[in-house]
Amino acid sequence: MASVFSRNKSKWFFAAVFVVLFVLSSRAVEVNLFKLYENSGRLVDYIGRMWPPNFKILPKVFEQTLQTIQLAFVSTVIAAILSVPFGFLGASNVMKTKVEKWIASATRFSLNANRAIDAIIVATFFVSAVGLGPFAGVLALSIHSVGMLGKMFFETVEGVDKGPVEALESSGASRLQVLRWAILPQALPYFASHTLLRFELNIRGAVVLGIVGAGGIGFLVTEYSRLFQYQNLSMVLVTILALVMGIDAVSGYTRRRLL
Amino acid sequence: MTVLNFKGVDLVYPNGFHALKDINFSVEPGEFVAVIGRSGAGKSTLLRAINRTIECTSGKAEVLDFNLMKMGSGDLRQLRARIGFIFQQFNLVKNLTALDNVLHGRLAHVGLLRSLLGLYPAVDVKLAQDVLKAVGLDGKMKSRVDALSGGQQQRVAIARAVVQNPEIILADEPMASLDPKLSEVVLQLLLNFNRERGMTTIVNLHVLELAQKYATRIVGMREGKMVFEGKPKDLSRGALDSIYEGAVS
Repeated sequence: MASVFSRNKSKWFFAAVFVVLFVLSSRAVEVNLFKLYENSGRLVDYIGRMWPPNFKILPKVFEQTLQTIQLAFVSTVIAAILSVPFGFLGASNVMKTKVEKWIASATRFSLNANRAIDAIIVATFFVSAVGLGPFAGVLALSIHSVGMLGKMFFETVEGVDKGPVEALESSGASRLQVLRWAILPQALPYFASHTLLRFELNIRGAVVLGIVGAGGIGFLVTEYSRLFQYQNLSMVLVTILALVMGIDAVSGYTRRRLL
Repeated sequence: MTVLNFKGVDLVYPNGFHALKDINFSVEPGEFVAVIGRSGAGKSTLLRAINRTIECTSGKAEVLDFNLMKMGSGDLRQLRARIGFIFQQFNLVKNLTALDNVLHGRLAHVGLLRSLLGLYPAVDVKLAQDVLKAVGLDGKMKSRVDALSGGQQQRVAIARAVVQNPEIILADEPMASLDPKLSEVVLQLLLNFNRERGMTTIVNLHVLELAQKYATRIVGMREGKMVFEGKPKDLSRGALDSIYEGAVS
């Protein structure tokens, strides 16, 4: 037994550190399962009041759902267009000279910084400029999405088959021609696939931004919660579930067809 | 007049590997030269040195009157536009059509804006279609390359090189991914273009019999050195031993 412990000393040490960190963190964020158990009746009561969903508000919910889809769609298209240049500027197989490598590093740093700041935080900046509403949401989601899409795009560009690049360079084609005809056609299906994935994420993002004032179906969550209209709220939640699952299914199918 | 003249050329990779050693090699217009040797002998490096994909480190290297040891990017593009290169793995853009891929061979001859928009002059499109017909792919012009067989893909790659109207064609083991029957078809195509259009052809081959059958001259390489140069009939047992180190029985 002692020999087993000494053989795996470092593993036991890391396991102990992990457990201590977990316990301390749980205490810091007031995790209390007993409290949850003690008050579970309230939770059941809350969910009980949500049943049955109120189908009479469906026209209004659909109208707001459409706005959420439009918000996500416009944001994703803007983000994809902005991300294409980043996809090339960040790619090490495109940016080869010393100055270009520096530009690539700066591009990657910018995209990392962008990803570090959530869309809700970005939205607070734009609300100060354009006020509450879907436009602030579009701006926030567009800018935030560039961080992820730009990274996915430059990784795609770096992963293309080098053969056609060598072939076009060997025929005397210029760098722009090589980018256009050897790299872009190979990368484009992946760009489209990543953009669809981002659209899926932006649907969820648009719902959350709606909760904090960007309009759409998320706004209804806030409205019905504040007014204690639980059956209306459950109708909204069911619609969000159907929306997200539907978009995921359609987007997933399309992405599989693209690649 | 020679199309290619190498004198005492050495090529050392940045990692220190001495890939070409004291290469003395010249080629006359219209020749069909086969380069033979074992894997790692320097055959591919030699071809890539000719179109300056890899830079020679010392010696005198001239191709089509360009001095390879001293040339700017503009000259390099001009030189490469006059040299067609055929690759072992075809190097085609697989999700584009055969015609699109062949038209890539005209990029250096088309204005930048037109080329970026894919607006090739009608004469270039006609040329590409004619060359595809010449390689037996007139029914496959609009097919995506990934829907074509290996032999058809290599013919698209040959058409892409030929459509440049090059003075030299370099082919790096163009049949390595093909079966023996298709290999003969591909070599026959190269020979036809060599004879009918006067395109000087230098081809790396790993099948000795094909080199002897098709080439007008054979160059043998071993460990970065040229150890044989002569007509196919001059390839004696001793010469083969010097190229293959006794690997051929």
